[in-house]
Amino acid sequence: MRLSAAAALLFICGIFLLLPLISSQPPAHFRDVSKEAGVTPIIISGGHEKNYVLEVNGSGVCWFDYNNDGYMDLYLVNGATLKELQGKAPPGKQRNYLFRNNGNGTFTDVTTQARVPGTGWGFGCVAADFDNDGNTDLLVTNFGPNILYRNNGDGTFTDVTARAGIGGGNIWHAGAAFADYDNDGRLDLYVAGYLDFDIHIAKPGDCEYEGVRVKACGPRGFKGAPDALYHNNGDGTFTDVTAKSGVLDKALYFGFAVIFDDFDNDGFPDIFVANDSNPNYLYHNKGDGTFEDIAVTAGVAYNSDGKEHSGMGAAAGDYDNDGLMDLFVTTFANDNYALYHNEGKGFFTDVSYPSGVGEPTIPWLGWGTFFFDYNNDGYKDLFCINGHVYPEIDGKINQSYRQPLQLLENIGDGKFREVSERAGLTRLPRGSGRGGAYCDFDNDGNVDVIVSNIDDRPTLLRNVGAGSNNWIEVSLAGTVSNRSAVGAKVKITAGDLVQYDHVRAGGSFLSSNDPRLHFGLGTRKRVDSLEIRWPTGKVDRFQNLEINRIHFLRERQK
Amino acid sequence: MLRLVYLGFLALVITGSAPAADSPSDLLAQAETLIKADNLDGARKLLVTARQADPENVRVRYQLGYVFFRERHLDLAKAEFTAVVNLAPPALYSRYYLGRIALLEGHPKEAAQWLEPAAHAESPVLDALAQLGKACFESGRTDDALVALQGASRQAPWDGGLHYQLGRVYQRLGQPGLARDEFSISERLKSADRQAVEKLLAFSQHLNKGEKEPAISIYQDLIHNQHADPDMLISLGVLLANAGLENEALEPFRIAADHAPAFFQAQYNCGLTLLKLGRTAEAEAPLSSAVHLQPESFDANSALALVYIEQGRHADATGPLEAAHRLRPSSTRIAGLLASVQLRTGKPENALAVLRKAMTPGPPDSKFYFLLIEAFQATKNNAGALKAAQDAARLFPDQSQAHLFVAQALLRAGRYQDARPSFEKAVQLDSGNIEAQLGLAEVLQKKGDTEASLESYRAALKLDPQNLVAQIGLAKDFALLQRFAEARNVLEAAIPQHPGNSALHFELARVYARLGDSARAAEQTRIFQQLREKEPQ
Repeated sequence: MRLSAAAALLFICGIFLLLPLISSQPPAHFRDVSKEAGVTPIIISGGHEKNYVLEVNGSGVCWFDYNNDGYMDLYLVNGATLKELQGKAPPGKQRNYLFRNNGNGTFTDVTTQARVPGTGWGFGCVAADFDNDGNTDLLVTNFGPNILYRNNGDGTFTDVTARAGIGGGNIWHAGAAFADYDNDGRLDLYVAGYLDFDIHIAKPGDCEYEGVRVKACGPRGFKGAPDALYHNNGDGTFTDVTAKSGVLDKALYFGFAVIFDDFDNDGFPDIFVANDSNPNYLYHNKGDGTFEDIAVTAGVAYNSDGKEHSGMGAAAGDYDNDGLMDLFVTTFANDNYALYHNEGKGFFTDVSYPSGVGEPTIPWLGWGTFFFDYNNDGYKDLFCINGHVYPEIDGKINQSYRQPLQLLENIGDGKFREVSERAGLTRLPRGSGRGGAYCDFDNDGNVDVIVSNIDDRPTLLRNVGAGSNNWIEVSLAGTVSNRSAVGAKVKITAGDLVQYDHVRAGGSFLSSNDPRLHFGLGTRKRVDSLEIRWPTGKVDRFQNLEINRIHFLRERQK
Repeated sequence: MLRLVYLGFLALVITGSAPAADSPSDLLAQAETLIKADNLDGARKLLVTARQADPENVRVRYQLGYVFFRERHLDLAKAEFTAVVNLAPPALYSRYYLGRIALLEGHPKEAAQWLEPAAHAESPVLDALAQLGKACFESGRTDDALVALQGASRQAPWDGGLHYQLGRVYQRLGQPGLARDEFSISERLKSADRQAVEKLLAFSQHLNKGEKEPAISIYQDLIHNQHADPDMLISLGVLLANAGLENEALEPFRIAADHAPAFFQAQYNCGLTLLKLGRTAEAEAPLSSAVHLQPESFDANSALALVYIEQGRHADATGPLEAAHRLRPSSTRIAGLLASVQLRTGKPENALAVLRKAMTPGPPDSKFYFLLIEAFQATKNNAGALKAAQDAARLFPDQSQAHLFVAQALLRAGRYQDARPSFEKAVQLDSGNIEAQLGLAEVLQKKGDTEASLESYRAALKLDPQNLVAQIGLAKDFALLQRFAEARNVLEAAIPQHPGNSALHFELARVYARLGDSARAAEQTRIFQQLREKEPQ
């Protein structure tokens, strides 16, 4: 039977009319693709039985395009065994991992060829082009001296730590971040110090957590390790300017996560440090090469009751699209994670509870976290990686060592709701998550996630369903500004939707996210304008950029 | 018309011309006279006639029951008293006799049921307490028998028979020392100076009638007697104490204790009276002596524990309370006190065990639920605390505190918004419950309903103008509403009231900063950090 032309037209129109109803916003969800992607190394952190505080923090991950092929590659930091650390086993059995993104959903371990295995007990990483040669370099933080790997541009790296002078000595280093704090076109580096721990004299502890005897006591009872700020001299070397610049960690707080961002939009990146069991730091960049800790009066040092959180991971992002970067900090169990709304002029308000992120996060112990728009609706959501530090609690109290991942969806009016179940996260096997970062690793416009689980395989979550919403991504390259464009600020206007984001290097927990900026557009079909304010202060404007693709935008010279 | 006149006349003739029969009330009056004269046979006949004429005459039925009882026609008596109970409840006197009948018929459980209302009435009926003691004893309710007999003995301290029964009770309770004591008192009272006993009886009557002068005269006579029998002195003291005259009762007890320091009753009553007078420090010595003399005395241990509790010596109170609880596990009051003391001395697990046992029998008591919640909280069992609180709110829906506990348990579980209705209910039931006001204000603030939160904090401050939590909460609300000058005013006023509180300085630092007063902000930050460093982590 042949359809008449009119009938066929009616049939086709009917299909198109029905389509929006059928496909209207299927829920976005995540699928664990670690195995099919080939990302399956076991990331360790001492033994399974956690006897020392050193063993409980796990490690971080970094997304960066080391071979400039347009696909983000993955670096996984690994710990070590206590025997290796104590010299009772030969070193080097454990190593970090660089996975090259093959562009087809799979990754290849290229650590050996790239010569980035790390040494000793690794914790964090951050990637950025510190020498402005167009190849993204890599810093690895360690229990012991850090490593700076310079990217040779040929698929290999060279350890330039000694020349750079940023090893930082034999202390426990944690989170790190790059930014050009003095706007001289070169990326400087901040590294947080955690605590002063000596495995050769340490003994398993005996303390109590919620009535359960646990061994990995700390960090309270230990002295902290100092933070450091290194100024990039532009010749492959750095100078320790910690004291001179006013960021001396006098109280030796237990530093974990570091974020460089211009929170007051004065053109100079400030520094936020999430400290474990201590007040957080917010160093305001005074623009003259010095900083001032304004965390207390800014309202981010403590919770709204004047009590310190145990700050673990941290994220910066503009969740309410007002042009001011807000802060989110994950904390210990039985405490809410803190969302600090940026009010401008250096002031924040703790909106954890009114925003809806307070209550759902109380039971969990959070680490890695980030703002990202998982469903491309134009509002940045929150991802939280959870896991307890004490394996001894399992079966004894109403908490667990392995904990679920959490997704808090931004519903657009300054409020969030937990959608972990709908997003498929609660169906995943539970791990004890630590570091983690987002990245659109398959360049499909849906932002994916990697989670580093302690003593377990990582979880690579592919975002397989952001629905029919549109998006745009921008990959920036500085010319006068630092090549990685860290600190560049993007404002994007799509009809009634205006969004802002900044390029950062370092964040979450011991990790670094996709350096490209991703914006969901909802159902809007065009981007009216995109404005980039480079760290130099120069502004580039673009109009009518094509949607649903990644744009490579280079800083205009004039 | 003529017919109506005729009928009226006829009625007049009929009523006027019949021989006059005695009315039921006349018959009753005559019968009561005969009862007084112990002519029970005559009284019965009249009362039976009266009952035929007026079967619903309660007084007739009661007196007839009484006559039958005296004549030991127990079935007939029971029928009459039952009729009275049905016709005019609560009919406490009829219940009393129904209890006595049940006892005589060997039904002590039933007897206790009849006797309990009569014994616990505001003015106990006859010797209902003593009869109840007997009924309880015979039905195996030994603890209840003890309580009843102790009450009866306070009413008639000279009654050696009651002390004998008390001795039997102590025997059954496995407290031979106390039993011996009671038996010997019983013996002494039975062989006591008859004159002294008569004086006591007279004293008791004068006391009951409020005849002050003759009562004082007998009192003086008894206590100044060099050879006064300690039993008589104690009986005198008990009568006075029973009449609410504790100050006057103290003297005979003291003399008895001085004369006979090893006499348990003297030490116990002396200590108990001092405790009732609020002289807790003085009460400790005689009560300690009493416990030493009779370690098995529930009463002495309980009283000594109260002395310690009154003085805030919870650790000292634990021993006597544990002894009292062991001696009488059914005493919910002691169980509650023990649990409370255990909570305050850092033994919440012990408290939980005591409370769980104590709560099993009997009707629910909100105090136990509240203690149980406290114990769960102290053991960090939030789920248990929440469950107990929810049970309490269900069982005692009109108690603000029960709803407050639910809300607080939810708060501890981080369920702020779930807690809101319970806080609201607690405030609705008792707007003077400041904790409920503060809780409601907090959850409103956390929800972002700042204006409503502000009102709740204001309501809390009306209840307690110097409440620190309310002051800080109010200032925070003002700050959230960008009303920084008002926030500053609240905080500046609060700091002199709570100068060492770090949170106030923290808030004030932030408010000064928002007002652009950076110097003051820096100063407050410095003070805050100094204070914070001194606080435990």
